[in-house]
Amino acid sequence: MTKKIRLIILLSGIGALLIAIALYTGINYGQYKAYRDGVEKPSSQSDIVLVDR
Amino acid sequence: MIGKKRILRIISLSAAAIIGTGLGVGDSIALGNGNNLDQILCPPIVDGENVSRSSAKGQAMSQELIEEGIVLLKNDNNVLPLDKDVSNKVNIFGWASIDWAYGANSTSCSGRVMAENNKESELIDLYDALSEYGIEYNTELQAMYKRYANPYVYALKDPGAVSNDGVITLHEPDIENKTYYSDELLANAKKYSDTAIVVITRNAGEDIPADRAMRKAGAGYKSESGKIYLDYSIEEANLLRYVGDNYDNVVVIINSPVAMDMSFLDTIPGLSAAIQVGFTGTHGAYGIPRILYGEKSPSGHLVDTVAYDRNTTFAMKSKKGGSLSTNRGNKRYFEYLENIYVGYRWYETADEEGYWDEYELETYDANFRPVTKTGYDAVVQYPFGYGLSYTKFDWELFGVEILDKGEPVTNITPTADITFKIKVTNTGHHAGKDVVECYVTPPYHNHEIEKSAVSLVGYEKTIELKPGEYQVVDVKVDMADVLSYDCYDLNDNNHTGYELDRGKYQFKFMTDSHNIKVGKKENTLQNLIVSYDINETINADKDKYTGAIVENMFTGEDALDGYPIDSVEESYAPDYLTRSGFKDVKDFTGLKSRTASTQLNNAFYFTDAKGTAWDNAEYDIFGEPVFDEDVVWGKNNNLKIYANNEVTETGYQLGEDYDDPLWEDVLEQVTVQETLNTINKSYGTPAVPSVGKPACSEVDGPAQIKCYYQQAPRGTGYPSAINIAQTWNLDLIEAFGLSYAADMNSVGIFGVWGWGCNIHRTPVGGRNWEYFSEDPFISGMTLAAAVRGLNNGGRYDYIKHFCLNETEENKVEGFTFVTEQAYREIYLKPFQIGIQKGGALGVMTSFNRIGALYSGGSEASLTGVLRREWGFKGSIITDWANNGPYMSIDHQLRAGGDLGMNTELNDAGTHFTYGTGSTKRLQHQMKEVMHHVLYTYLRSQYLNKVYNEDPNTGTKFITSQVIESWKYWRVLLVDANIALLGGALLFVVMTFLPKKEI
Repeated sequence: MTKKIRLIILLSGIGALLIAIALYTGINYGQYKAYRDGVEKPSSQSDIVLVDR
Repeated sequence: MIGKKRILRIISLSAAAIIGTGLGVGDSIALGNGNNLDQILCPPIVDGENVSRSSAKGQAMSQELIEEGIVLLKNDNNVLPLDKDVSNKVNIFGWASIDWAYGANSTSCSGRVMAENNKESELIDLYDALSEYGIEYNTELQAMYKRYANPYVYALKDPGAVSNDGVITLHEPDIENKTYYSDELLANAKKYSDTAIVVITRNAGEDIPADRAMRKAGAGYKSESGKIYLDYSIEEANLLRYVGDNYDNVVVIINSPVAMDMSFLDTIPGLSAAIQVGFTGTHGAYGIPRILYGEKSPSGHLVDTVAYDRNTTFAMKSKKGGSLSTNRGNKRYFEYLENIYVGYRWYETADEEGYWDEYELETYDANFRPVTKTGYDAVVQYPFGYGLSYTKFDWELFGVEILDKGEPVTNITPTADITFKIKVTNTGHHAGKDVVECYVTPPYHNHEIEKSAVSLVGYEKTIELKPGEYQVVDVKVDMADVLSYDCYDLNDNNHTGYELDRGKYQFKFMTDSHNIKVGKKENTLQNLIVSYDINETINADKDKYTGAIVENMFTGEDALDGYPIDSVEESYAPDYLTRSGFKDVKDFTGLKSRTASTQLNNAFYFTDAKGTAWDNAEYDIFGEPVFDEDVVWGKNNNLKIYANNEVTETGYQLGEDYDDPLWEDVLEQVTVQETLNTINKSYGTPAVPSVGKPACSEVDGPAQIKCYYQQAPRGTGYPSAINIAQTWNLDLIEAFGLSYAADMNSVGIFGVWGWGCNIHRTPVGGRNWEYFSEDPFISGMTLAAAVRGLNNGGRYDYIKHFCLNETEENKVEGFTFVTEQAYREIYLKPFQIGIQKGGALGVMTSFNRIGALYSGGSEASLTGVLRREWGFKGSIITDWANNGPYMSIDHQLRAGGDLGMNTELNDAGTHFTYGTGSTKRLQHQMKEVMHHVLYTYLRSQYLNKVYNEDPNTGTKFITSQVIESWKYWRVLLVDANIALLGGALLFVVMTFLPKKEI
């Protein structure tokens, strides 16, 4: 096996790991973004309280 | 010879194995503490504007609580109120004035108070409050104190940097030290103003016993022989003496809620006036000038007895407990030998029994003439319930109504409710509020059921009455609070349990626990005592509110946990105090060291064998068959309690009724894993996706939500629990609860670990400031009012520490023995009122043992009392559990509890399996956890909805939804796993690739 092929395997492996990390992070953040978009902003949805006595 | 290639392969495989193992362990630790890390690293998103609005309202509430909770202790020659035109300049003495105590603090502190937004400059001390009110103070004096020692204001510092020793170190320059109190400075001060305010402060904090030796700043941190932190130092005494001798108007401000030694107010001449302001929270000090200058009349009343010598309370004699030699090393045991005679119950009953007859004390009167006090007056400086006013009030008994189950009756019964109508008229020259206190004196028969000479059973505070105005207040008495618990059948009527014993019951209207008010009716003096006779003892076998049977569960052969709580060992009987023998206990010197018997050693920890026996039992400890049906997990019944960012109709329906049949369908949807996630490492309850429940954050309080976090924002820093109880104003306290909910709402928190309602068994309880009172009734009523307000705001709390946690010293694992009578009448009572009259939705168990058992493992207490007798349906959580085999959540789960704080199942060394393979009884118990936890959340939301829809309630409270942060650390953890494990595997692959060219 040539050094070139070994290098290709190494780089492919590293590349695959990086892609996996990027994909997982991206999907997770995308899901969170979708959740955030689904809820109102805190400042507009909270007619809070406030104990006027 | 091993080749290079082979070595590389061994290294790569080893590295992969090590990395894999390391990741496994690391992941396990991180995910096991996932809830904690979520809370710390990714707290819910809050809106700064909401926090500011909530803080502003909360700070105004703090001021109101201080104004109503300040107790005027002394006011000789009407020094107070000060005249703003005459005394618009004041001297403020005492180093503590530059290190104001806003709240408690310590290294492990719940109850801490810090600046809401980390801006130290916005904390309000006495100087700030006076300035804002338009009063000038002597800045030369203030500068001298700052020169003497830097303020060590713990409330402003990083929580991790607090030193417990530092918290309780006294700083005070001696008045004779000319380096600081120079002749010029003192002369200037006298010229500056003839009014002197002296600030005396005592701090407090979790894990700091208040009877630690006095510690004074300076080389070697000197002490004074025999003195403790709550005593006053020589330097303080010298300062007070100087001020008393040199100023016409002297006002002492006690900046501490705990009962420190205040005898100096009567033994040092010239100290004309004194107010106790407690811990003021971050902004409550604004209320102090309004009291000093008469804009408001003081209306706070003490909730603890203040004795000249704290050691005169009998509980002090056994306070430190005794050493217990066990087969697991030396432990500590406590015996509540004083029985029911705690606080004023001891002082007043002892007075009735002539215990104080020989006591004498030299003091000074208002004109500085020596006076010898005798008897009770020489022992008790300020009785429980005491508090002066700037005005005077007349009381008139206007009418009495007794209802039993809603029907009018003519005599008292165990289930009756009495309403006394008292007309209160302001006959003075100053507007003010008054408190009508109602105490019962029950019949006492020698050697029979223990009964206190007086017990508080009702009270009511008036609105502010102008001179000449009156109000008729309803003082309500629930006869359930009057009954006695006869655990030993001492009256020999063949009954153990609650009883309305035979004899005369006198309901007395008093200004404090010692003094009966003389009423007036049409200018004729009126005896404000209402009496009823009970000819024959009436047994009360059922709880008034739930109808559940109430009977012995902790005494002798009736002890359902297997260990009586008054004494486990047949060969050893504690000498509990009896009223018939008060005079025999004067020489009692404390508990002796002893060795645990086999019985006691067997009670020690929860084991696999004990748990397995519980899991496989056919009958429970109450003699009833255990649950024996299949438990359904993970079934899809298409029900959601929360969807589209709001509670569903189903959710509200379940929140309305714990017993709604729909619960079964909803609970069938919950999975085993969701249940385990909920029980383990509780730091808030996690989301339950199968039914749609969102995650609910829960953190420490109770004086301030999120007090433990270094990062702002936090909720409002409120005054201490004692200040709140001292208002005696239940409407105000309910509004405080609502305000607290607003804070929780604004910072995205659902549940708070508080409020505390343990009893001030002695004045030196290290956490008295965090609990309400020495009296169970006012503790419970205060708690209940705050809880009602909190629940109306859609939030819930875990009332704590259940139960018998009255000391900070050796509290962990402390064996705590008490009679069942005192357990029920004194120590359980505040919790009972908080649950039955406040609707509390959470309970936290304690570090100590109830008798011999871990408090969380007492099935008789958790299931027997809390759930069966009182009808408690909410969640039960452990305290912070990190104590090896002790505080087992496995134990607490089986006893009727739910959540493990900082602990998880099998953490305490057991080896149980939790899942579909568990016995039906255990699976049912796990399912019950989800019933309790979901109900806790839904009940708070339902009560909030009812409150909002009620046209008769005040300003509405819209519960905002919590917006979760992105849990980035969880993603990073997975990324790290991919990178490290993937990298290691790649390394392995590379070493196994053929090197020669093919």
